[in-house]
Amino acid sequence: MKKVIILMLAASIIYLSPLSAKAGAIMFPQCKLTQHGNEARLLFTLHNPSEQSWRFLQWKTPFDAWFSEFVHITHQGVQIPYEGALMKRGEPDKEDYLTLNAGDNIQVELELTQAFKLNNGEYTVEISPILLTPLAESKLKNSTLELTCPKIQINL
Amino acid sequence: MSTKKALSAIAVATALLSGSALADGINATLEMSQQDYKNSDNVVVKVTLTNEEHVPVKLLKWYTAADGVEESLFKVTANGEKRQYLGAHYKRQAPTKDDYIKLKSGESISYDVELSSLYDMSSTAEYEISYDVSSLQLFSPNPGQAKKLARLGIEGIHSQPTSFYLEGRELKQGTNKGKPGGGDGGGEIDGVTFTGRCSNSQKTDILAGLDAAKEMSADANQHLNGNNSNSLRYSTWFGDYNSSRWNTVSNNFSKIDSALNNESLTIDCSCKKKYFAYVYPTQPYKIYMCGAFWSAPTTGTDSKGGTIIHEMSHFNVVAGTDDIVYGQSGAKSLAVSNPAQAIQNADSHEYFAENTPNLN
Ligand SMILES: [Zn+2]
Repeated sequence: MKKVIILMLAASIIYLSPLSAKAGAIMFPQCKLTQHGNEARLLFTLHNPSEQSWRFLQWKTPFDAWFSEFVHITHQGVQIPYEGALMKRGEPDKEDYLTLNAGDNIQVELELTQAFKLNNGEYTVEISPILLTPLAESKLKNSTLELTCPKIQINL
Repeated sequence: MSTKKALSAIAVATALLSGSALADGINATLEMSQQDYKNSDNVVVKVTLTNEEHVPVKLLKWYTAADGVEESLFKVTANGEKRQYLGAHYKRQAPTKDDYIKLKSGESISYDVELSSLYDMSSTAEYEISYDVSSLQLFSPNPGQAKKLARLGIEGIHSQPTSFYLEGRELKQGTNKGKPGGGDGGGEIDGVTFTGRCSNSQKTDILAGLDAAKEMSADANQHLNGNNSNSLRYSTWFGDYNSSRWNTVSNNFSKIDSALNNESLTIDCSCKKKYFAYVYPTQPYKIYMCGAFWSAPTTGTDSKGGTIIHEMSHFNVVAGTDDIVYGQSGAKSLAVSNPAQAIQNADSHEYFAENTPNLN
């Protein structure tokens, strides 16, 4: 179940259901996690079917492995502690942002054992929402898209 | 000092191959940035390599500092005693064409190399250094000359020694938890172990940052023990007063203070990222300093002292904080919107400790 939220800077918040996103003129970026076989490896995919280019801060996203805690794993309802690094940063600059061009598909692999101690069993994996802002001139100017990826169950 | 001296390799080569076009005459000279160094000074040597042959020579970059120092390039002694190279020896594939740089006949290249991060220079001594490299692959093989070039590579390139005086860091009595006179590894000063090629100036910066962090944590503790339930300083960074949250923060700072004063820290200088610093919260008490740390002020907002407070707060055995929001404005907003998260946020602890502007 994907939830797409547009946060207007004007402080009005509009919730769009996936249906209206499909039906409307604008389609939004989508993300998903997939497991490689039975390995503790995930492929994160960010897809932009819209004609709008977006950008987002890499911090606390899968493009920041493992310098922030952006993956949350539970096993039988118990949180698995994050053992990666935490980086203190200043203000972000241009290089800290990634651009998701119209039609782009960008992917990154996550090796979970680099940041979590995992045994055999079933785990629920979730990542922090990604905040995207439209690039340049757009009807969506001054808005932020909070993209929540569906959590997945993995079996090791 | 700077008079050029031909290599022993040249003599060997000319004897062997009089008049041949073999590449062998690389002359190395060294020039120190100063003659005397204090313990806070970086020790910089300028290496100049000159091709004195009448033909071009191709030299393996790994032995030239062209891409930074990736091998031991020098022989270093302190009062006659050999000093180990502390830097990494890279494990590599066989060199390819791209790993060689070409020096035309008569051409020179120069590099500045900082030595105190590469060799133990903690003790007061007269140091002597010479450029001293050799490798089978030092010279790019030419068809038909492979064996000879390999032999010349093993002969290597050696400069005349140059020397300088360095005043080492005095170990403080009483607070010293280190091995007195210990000079191996990255060195240890006042219970702080350095890894990852910390230079003299970086060690000095770290020790100043640590002193500032200790002062900040003592001050934070004093403030929190004062029990001022309407402290503006507290509410700015941690939100509305509530005794349980206040106690959590107070407990966090007493652990930060205790760790700073009683635990052995390890500081690593190898991070080349532009950010401040990072830690693994499950691995106390090692802090990795990155680019922004070195240019940060000692005290005040986003300072060296504050960064150390921030990082110490992350360790699970200390306060187990997270990076929920970054920066002062984010931390202030979090205090208003979510005090329960603010008391778990590392930057909130840092800004409370830095107390800039002063809100006491
Ligand atoms: Zn942090």
